[in-house]
Amino acid sequence: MIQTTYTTRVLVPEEGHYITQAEEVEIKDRVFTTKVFLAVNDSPSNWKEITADEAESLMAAKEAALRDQEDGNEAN
Amino acid sequence: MNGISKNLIGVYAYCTPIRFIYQGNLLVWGLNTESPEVPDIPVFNSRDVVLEVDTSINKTVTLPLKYWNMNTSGDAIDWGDGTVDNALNLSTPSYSKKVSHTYENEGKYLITITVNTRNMSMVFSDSWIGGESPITKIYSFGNLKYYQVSITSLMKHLVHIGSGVGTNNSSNSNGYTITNLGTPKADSLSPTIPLTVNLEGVLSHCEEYPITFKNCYFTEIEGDMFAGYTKAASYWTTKVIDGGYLHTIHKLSIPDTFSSYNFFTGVAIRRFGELKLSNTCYNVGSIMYNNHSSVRYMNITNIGAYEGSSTMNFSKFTNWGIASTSVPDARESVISSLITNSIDKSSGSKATSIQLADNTKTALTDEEIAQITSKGYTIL
Repeated sequence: MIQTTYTTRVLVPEEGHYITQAEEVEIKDRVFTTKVFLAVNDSPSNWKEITADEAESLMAAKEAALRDQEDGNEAN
Repeated sequence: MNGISKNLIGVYAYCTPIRFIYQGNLLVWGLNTESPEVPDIPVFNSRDVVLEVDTSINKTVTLPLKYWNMNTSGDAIDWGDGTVDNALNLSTPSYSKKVSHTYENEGKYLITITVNTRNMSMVFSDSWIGGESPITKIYSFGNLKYYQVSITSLMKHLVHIGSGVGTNNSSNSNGYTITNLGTPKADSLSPTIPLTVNLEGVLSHCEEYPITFKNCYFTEIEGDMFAGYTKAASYWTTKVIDGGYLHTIHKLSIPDTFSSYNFFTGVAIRRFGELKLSNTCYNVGSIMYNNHSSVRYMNITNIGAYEGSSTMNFSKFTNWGIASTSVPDARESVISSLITNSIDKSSGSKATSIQLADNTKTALTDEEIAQITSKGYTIL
């Protein structure tokens, strides 16, 4: 019998914080979450905590960037 | 010409017009000698409008041709039974012409309309048709520049739009518009009547803004709309489905060179039976304008194939994998998409992040989450 055991590393931020990518990414690609299930080839160092206030500001900027992108496509 | 009778599935450009090879009730096919690996290419001229009628429904067919300059030399209608009306027969110049033909026998016939002027539309109405229409398929809109087809309740047998539709249209940014396709029986205008239409290859030759199915009544699409797509250039479109009652798409393979925002607008789709995403669809939610929450079953066949972004965003699909009475097997589609069908990326130097809605994450067991992460996907 073959038995396989899977383990998953889970990142959860401190209260009042979100997790986002540690590296610089385009604003439209930035993600915000309160739980990260890490892939086997991912590392906690690829992620960082930010405050809820900072996250909300970045979320608004992301929404605007995505709207601009869709407007640009429709204009094509 | 190989003489085999079977369903038509597409258009082969610049070959013998069907009226020269059509043999009574038998649909005659030719082999595609240029691309023998793609069999079953029908032989008719892609510049013609080609319809199929089944005269067991009604022996009289009426075509409401509008904005057709009858003086144009070479315009002709071949009714498929040996009868041909050419421009001289139709004599009087007209911008609105109701053309009828009555067949002697029951059977399936192809109507081939050769149009030299490119401005024509078909706006069917019950009063014009005068009875149940025997039109069952539209294979091609030919080389028309402006074309609108409005379907009425007397055309309930029209359930197949072929791959010739949406071609030769790059000069018309409005594309073709088909309204009311699948309209149910006149005495029972209920959107709950299930009706499947076959749209296989309808986008196979398309470029920008190929076609819009607007406010149609069909509920399911079978046949991959992009089947046979070979365009190498990048094209973009929106609102291929605009309103209506569509809830199930059996198969859709979005080409890598094709971008689509709001491909589905104003419809509550609950099932994507088999969905292949393109390289430009990593922001998966953008293929729909609204009603993301209606999608419960979404079986994606190529998660991980896209290399252009490290994130795929499914967070708008708040009920993906959540079963309902009409979609009891919803959860299976999440498992197949994220575990069974996904490409193993675990040996890559960088993980791919998948954003899921809270409902979808909750539907997954700890072991299933671990299986996903073991294939190189970080779940957000």
